[in-house]
Amino acid sequence: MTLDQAARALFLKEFVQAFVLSMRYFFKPKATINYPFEKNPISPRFRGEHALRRYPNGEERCIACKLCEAICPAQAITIEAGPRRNDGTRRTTRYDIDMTKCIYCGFCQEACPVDAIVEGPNFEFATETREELYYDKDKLLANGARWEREIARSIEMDAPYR
Amino acid sequence: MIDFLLKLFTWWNGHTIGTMVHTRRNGELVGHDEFGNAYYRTKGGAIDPTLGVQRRWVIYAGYAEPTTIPPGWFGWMHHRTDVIPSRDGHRVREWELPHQPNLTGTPGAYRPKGSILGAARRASASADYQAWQPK
Repeated sequence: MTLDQAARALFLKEFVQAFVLSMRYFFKPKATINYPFEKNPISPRFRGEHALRRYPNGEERCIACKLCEAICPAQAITIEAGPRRNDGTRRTTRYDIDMTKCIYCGFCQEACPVDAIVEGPNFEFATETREELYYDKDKLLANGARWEREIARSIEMDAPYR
Repeated sequence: MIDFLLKLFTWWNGHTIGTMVHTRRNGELVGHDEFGNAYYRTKGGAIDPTLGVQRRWVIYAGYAEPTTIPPGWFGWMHHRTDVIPSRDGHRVREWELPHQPNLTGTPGAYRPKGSILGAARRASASADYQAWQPK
């Protein structure tokens, strides 16, 4: 054992070095955030929970063209277009999304010609049972009516880049 | 008393003692939402050097449930906007519904039509789809 090695062992050089390093990080400002009390920045293109939107006058946007159903890579969307209603517009009679199949790729909102199906900014829709993730048309329209404020904000913020 | 003990020993009921001290020293109240949650930011809106944005935090009224943050404040909390919801000029349409927290695990939870826990029956499939018949 050389004198150098003996001195290092005697003064616990490695322990002191590691302690100094941990103390440096201990006193550094933290980059972590304290969810749920703080939340991280999210993009206007964030793809969260789905919603079916309405026109400002309250009319449903979806025209049952089934482009979203066709493009969905996970085949999570099921649409049935019923007979035309008495007002002569084409509408879906069933619009189901299996959120357990969905891979949140956003192809449905890209395919939609009328901006009806969108992926909103909400990501806090975890459920305790599996069946609560089988969304039907009423649930999707209710999501649209609840989240319209944030969905409209996302579209407005992203519009200059499209 | 029970309120004080909850604040002392739990972090999920309103604010902890540490959060209260930090909020008094460094926080600036920005506003309240309709559920009574209080929104704070750092004094003067100083940019946090490690985050690159302001630190914004919420003190929940009661149970710390992030889905009680309504749209509007959701955008502010997620740094999508710096304008608080009462000033962003949003006009609420008559078909918009009031915000609802995530009701999973409660009797108000969403049930799809046809669920044995729900009342509504699922409509049978139309002629678009045919059941497979074993030969």
